[in-house]
Amino acid sequence: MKAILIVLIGFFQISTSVAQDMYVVSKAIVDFTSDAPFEMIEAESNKLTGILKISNRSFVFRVPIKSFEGFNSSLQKTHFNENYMESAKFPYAVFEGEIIEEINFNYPGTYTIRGKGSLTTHGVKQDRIINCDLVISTNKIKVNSKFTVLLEDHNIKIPSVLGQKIAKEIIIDIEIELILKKD
Amino acid sequence: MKKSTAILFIILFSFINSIAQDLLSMLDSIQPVKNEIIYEEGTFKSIRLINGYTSETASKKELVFSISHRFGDVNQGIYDFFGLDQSTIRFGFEYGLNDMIDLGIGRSNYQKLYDGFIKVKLMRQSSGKRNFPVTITLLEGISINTLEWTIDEVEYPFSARINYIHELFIARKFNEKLSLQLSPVIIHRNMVETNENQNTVGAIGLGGRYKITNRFTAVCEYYYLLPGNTADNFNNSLAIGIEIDTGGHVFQIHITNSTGMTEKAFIPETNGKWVDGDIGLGFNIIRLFSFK
Repeated sequence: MKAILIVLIGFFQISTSVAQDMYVVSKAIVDFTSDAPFEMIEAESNKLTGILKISNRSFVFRVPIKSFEGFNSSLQKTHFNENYMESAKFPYAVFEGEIIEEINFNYPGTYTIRGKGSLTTHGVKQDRIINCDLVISTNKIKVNSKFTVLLEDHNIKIPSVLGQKIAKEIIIDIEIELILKKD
Repeated sequence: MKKSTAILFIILFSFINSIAQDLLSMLDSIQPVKNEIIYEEGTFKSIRLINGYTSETASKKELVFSISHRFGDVNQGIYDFFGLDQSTIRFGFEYGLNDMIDLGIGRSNYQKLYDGFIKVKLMRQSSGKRNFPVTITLLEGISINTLEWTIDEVEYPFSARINYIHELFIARKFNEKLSLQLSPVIIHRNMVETNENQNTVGAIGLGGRYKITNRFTAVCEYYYLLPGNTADNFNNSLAIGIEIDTGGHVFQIHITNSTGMTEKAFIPETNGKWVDGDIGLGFNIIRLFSFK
């Protein structure tokens, strides 16, 4: 009986934590650049989604690989999806983790924080700490971040003949706007 | 008591587990993946299958430059170096006005033909919110024979040089490797060489590609002439080849019994017979330029 009580209390605590406030992505632009000696490739997506939980500062952000547009030609986009990212097999890039700094979301201001978690791209998980600038205002957070991803880290193989056309390190530029969602 | 504790632990554990991996599922419930129309892309590597076109068009502000070569028949032996002494060439440009419409021009030394066409994607293969099984592209083209008339005494009107082509490409990408295409076509030639020859010829094209690796693709193309005088006197065009995708270029190397590279030339005017060895080597080099 005691055990049941403990479980019930536990269940209650869990359910309250689920019901807590969180921020939800309302607008986002993800841009990537491959700056190689012979070719510059750029593409962007505005299809990123994600949530940030206030209680434990945990977050998840996800972007569908097929949603990237831009590129230098339609053939290049097909190469991106079929040859390199294999987006039919690995449809999303996901960053999931938590904010290291204990910030108070109730105080508006500008913060530089580190997001620690796992970045999954091309089906390969990498532990990453990514620096972000946060601008917190009432019920709204703006996130800006620029970081790089090594193709090798995610097992994305480029044929040696294209070594001068595709950069080994891809620059990612992210702008996200989150709004407070109350249950 | 033991049993119930065990059950409780299982319940508790499953809860903890669900909390540990709930962020993504929470995201799914809050921002579910939108049911959008997903268009199939890259049904074929380029606008050209072998002799004929594919359902692909040049995308917006993209210029596709193609150089095509067809050598003579291999059965001519060493004197003609297995056909390599003769060559037919066509070069062409195709430019995308938007992602659905493109315009093309070309010039071939076969009958000194100039050709121009418009290609329009009428429907695109899609999944998700709207399911449509195939991509349908319409090609409307014209070609002009600019050879000097062989008989000086007769004055032919300019319209005698003009040919029209109406073709529909119905293509389906079955998966990343296999794409097939059906292409009914009507060709109208304002003037033909003899009375027996048809001015208007119908044919049905069948083509496909199979990606062996990301860079090598096997391609095949066949045009079946609908019964009639032309079908009796000429041969169906058959071509098989491989396609090499180097990133910026697409190289296509093939063997075919056709000499021409314009619809008017290779569909109703193919003389060569595969069984007699009237086949020649050919290649297309396709380069994309972007003006974005």
